[in-house]
Amino acid sequence: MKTKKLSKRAVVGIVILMAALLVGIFLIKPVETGVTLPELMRDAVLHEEDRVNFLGIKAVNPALISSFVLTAALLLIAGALRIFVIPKFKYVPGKLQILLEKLVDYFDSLAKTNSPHKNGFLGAYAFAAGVYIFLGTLMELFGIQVIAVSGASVRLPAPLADINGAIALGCLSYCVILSGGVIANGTRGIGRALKEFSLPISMSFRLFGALLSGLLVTELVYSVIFLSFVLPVVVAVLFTLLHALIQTYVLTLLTCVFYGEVTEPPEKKEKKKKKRIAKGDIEAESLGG
Amino acid sequence: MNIPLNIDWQQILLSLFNFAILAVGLYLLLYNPVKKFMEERKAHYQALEEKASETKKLIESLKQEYEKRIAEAEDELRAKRLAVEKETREQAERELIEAREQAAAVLVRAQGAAREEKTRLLEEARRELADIVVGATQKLIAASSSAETDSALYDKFLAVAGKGEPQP
Repeated sequence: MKTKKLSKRAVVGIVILMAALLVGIFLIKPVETGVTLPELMRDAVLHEEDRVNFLGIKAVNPALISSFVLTAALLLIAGALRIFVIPKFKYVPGKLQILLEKLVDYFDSLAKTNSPHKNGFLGAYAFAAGVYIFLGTLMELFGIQVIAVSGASVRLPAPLADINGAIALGCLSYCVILSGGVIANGTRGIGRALKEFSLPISMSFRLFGALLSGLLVTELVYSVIFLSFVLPVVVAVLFTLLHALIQTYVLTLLTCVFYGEVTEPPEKKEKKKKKRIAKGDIEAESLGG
Repeated sequence: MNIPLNIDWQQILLSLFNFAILAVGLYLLLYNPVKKFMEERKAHYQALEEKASETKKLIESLKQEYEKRIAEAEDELRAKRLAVEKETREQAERELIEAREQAAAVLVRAQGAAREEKTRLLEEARRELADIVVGATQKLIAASSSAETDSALYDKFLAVAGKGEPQP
């Protein structure tokens, strides 16, 4: 009976609080930043105004700060898992162990199925890239604030919503493909990889465009006050989760597929010779006939 | 050189450096240990499976040997049973013959004894009958003979003897 009364009181309290917040939102005058929507969106793409100081060395795009924050957080989590969780792994796994094993196994099998040759390194690269893209995109949801050089507060975007970050990952993926080709097939591998010269550009801009579009849509939604209720739950959470998954899948899959193509061993010359001989025989017969 | 879209080589290199650290860290801290554990477990279960298949093979060979032995034992048992049955039958036949012989001997003996008994009884009966007849005769004679009858008989005898007539 007491718990029922308490829960009723809690519900009433939450409703009153939400109502008060709603009233407060409409009563308080929004702060005039003097930034128009086109300017806001241009800055989301180019980061000309909201630059952040990077260790006192240089003013950089906030996405670079995001990527360093993400790396630090991921390495901390990975270190904690390595020390506290992995040594306690059992042959009959628990929930966390299943999650970690599934994650590793997914990228490992993605590499093995799409690139059957020389795939030892590829699985590890796909794993790192996948985790980086997925969790980096989810950073949008946390809304971590930093102070820009201009003194304004800036929300940390996804690391790959920055053109520089996207170019870095796209070019690195291409370099991995190229190095795989060189290791597996030598100069023939370089030739195969160079044939796909547009790959680094397409990979970079695909990542950048996909993640930036998510950011821009979110910015647009937030710029209209009556759309800032309820809708962000769908827009921010579900869309972010969805395009995080899609971009992770697309980049890792593309890298593995192209890596598989360039590392494929060449056909043996004997087969070609046999084919030529057979072809010659047929031609001779046709001439004789 | 001013590159469009705010592309900055320094930031690209910083991003690369950052990702390289992340990739190496994740490989060393997470990917490699988890993969090693998975391979270790796979090897463990493979070893178990191999051991199980070896044990299964061993069991199958043992089973075959056991079945073979059972078949042999059954054959042996059947042969022994047949031999025992044959022996029992022969023994029974022998005993039956013996019993029959014994019975025949007993019968012969019994017949002999019966015959002897019969003879003896007949003898005894004859003797007793003779005794009875003699006794009865004696009694009859004793009853019918007196001094007058004896003298009459004596007279009659003399008369017959004097005539010389044969006695009837």
